[in-house]
Amino acid sequence: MTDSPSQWAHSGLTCRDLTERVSEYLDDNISILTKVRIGLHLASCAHCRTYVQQIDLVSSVLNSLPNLYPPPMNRLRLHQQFATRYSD
Amino acid sequence: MNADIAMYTESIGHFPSMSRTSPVVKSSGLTKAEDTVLARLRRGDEGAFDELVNQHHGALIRMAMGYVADREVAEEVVQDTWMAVIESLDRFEGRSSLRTWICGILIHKAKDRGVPEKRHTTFSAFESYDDDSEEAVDPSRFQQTGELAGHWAFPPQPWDDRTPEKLLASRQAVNAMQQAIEALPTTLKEVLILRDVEGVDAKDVCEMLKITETNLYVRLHRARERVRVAVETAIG
Repeated sequence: MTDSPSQWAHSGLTCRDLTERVSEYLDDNISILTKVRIGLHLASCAHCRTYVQQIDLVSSVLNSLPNLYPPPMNRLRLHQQFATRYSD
Repeated sequence: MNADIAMYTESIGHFPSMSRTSPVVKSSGLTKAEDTVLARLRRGDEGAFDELVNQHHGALIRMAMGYVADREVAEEVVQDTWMAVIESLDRFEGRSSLRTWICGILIHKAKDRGVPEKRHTTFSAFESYDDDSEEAVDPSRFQQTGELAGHWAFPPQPWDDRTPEKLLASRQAVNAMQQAIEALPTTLKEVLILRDVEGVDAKDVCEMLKITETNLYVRLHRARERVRVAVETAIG
């Protein structure tokens, strides 16, 4: 893709405008018109493409962060409660 | 209280055509995998309960930390949440997803516990974030005047480790993300954890937190941007 600041104007969006809509864009929760304008802008702006990729990457790894587990005594109590409640 | 929790949280994802009295009815609120897990739980399968705890405990702790003073209290709140889940499982009708239901209970418990706990901590740790008009990205990163006003002055630099696997393999990046999440004010933390960590649907998040979709995306993006900046600073 070729970057051309002169083409940014065609999208009607500045980089600053675009960055505010990125999460809606990635969730596909945005009007078709805005989606087209963002697409036009991204086609000619490498910096915004980088920005969108980074937000997408951060969002996608958050559910894979190191897990946390209950302390052993708490887990034991939960097991006892579960066994009592659902035995039989 | 447990009955209240069941009623409170199951208002999320309600489908009017579904019976409120039949917990075994398959609803569109549950995925097939959750339906299987629920059946195992109701049979008293302790392995299924362990899997459920392992899957959600981390996200629940991180979310509880937005409401209470420290990790120890957060563990107590999450323990209370799991106890309530055990007590209410047979009344859960499946009109929302299992994770949405569990998160709803956690929020309820954490808010109950959070108010008195806040009195024992500093204000900054519980920064409120009601001003949704503030921009997510630092305005000084954009050109302020001239023909290119509004375009990047200090653009993000591409990261070498672009895949999720490579990013997660970087201890610096992971630590930065964890610290950034911990430092988020509650209103940003809860949307980030519900949406990105737990994968709760946007509409369900709005229902749980009583916010509009516009509010949701403003807060979600602000939270994601803070985490992105933390990674940028750590590995940039």
